[in-house]
Amino acid sequence: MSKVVIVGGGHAGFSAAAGLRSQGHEGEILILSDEAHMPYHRPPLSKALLVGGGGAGDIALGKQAFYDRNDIRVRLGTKVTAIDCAARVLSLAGGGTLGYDRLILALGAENRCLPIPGAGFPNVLYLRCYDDAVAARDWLGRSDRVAVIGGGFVGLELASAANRLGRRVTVIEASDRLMSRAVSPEISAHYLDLHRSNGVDVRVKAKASRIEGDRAASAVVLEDGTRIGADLVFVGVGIRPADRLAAEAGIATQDGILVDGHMRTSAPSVHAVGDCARFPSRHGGLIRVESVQNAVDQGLLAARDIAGTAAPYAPVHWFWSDQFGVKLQMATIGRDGADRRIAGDVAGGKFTVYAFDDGVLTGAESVGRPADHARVRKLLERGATASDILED
Amino acid sequence: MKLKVTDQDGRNHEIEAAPGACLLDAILGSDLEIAAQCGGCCSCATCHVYVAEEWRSRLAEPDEEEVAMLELAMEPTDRSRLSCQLRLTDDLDGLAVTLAPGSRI
Repeated sequence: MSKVVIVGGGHAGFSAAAGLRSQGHEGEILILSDEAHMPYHRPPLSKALLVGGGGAGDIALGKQAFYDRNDIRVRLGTKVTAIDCAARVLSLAGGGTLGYDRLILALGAENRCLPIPGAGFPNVLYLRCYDDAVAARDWLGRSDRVAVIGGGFVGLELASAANRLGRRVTVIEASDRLMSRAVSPEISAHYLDLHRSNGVDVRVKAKASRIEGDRAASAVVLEDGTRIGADLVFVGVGIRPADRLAAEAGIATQDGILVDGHMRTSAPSVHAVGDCARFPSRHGGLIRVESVQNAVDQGLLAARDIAGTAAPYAPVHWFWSDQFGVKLQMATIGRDGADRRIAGDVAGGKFTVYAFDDGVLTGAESVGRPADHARVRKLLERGATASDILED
Repeated sequence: MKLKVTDQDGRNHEIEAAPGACLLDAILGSDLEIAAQCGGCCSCATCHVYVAEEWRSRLAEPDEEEVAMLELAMEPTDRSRLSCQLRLTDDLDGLAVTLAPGSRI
């Protein structure tokens, strides 16, 4: 019976562990996490946890009884510093080593840093893990003016939470629209209106050039000289896959750990899953997907490969965001669709943006139209064309 | 208040719940296991439960969002609900539900 070691205690690592047991793996399962908390849900970190409070236990992915019943061990506060793929041994921070038969890398991602002067002030915060969220909540409690650099999902969810807590919020986005990497212009425009109508000062095509302050940040200065006063600055300018550990071990990487359709890396007996993995899309090319759905599904996929119940990965990726209580629901097969069609009432805030490529439905974004979202997820599973969607 | 919950393996449990909470929170506060992959925001249908027939008519109707997401649940029936959307009120003391197969972690 083989010993499986999982590095990383996020959604992907947890799913791999749970999946190994559900698929019949009888050997040892050990999760190594460099955090101080048992695996937990990450989406609430930028939403409910900031506004409503609660502790890590309230958002736990599994209770202690689950780990006990399934004989899954978790070692917290454990950082892996090197992998010897030939000897199948991990080096741990502090000097220990640990052997494995099968290794699953669920390393997640790291925040991209903001390379501008002043980014090191103590009140310039990033959000990635539970401890970050607790720090954010603390700072929000004693701040008045909040600047958010980066108008992506995390930045906008932070802006929404800070606004709801009564803070004056400015969002600074470098591109010409919000969430530009992930959503259509129609959705960007809708959420721009939503933030502005709630009193958030949103600046697009605005680049932060430096953060001013004495011992702490007091303002963000834009490239055009505009000075935005702030006693708390959040930075959400994207993530990069945590692939360094793998690269240093000689495992093939390319902005992510390269895996095949079963999440196998270039090293024998080593899988990689979740945010850190770059995998072959069934529509061609290698992609990386940053989402809970992808993390959970890939964790299970690796587990199945190890347990001998392998299945192909033909996912419908789905995501959601919540800003000012307005839920954005997205589904995609991981292929771009430049041909967009809109259904519903855009002005009324209930609409869906469908995307097609060559007549094939590739995804959709819905606001206030949950039935569209559910239907699209079903249609994407079997493949659909414009005529399936837009008959009316 | 108390709830009667049958788990995914058919075992019966009685759990405590606070009026005003949602059913998912009550389940999460017990020793029962439930996936609730999206954390309880009506996005994944993995907190799916079957409500006992005698209780069905006593629950508020599911809203548009829950109805849509139930379309994606594994093995839905006309007794299907998402526990994250089911608000517990005093008059639901004794509510009986069964955790659906797709709610397993």
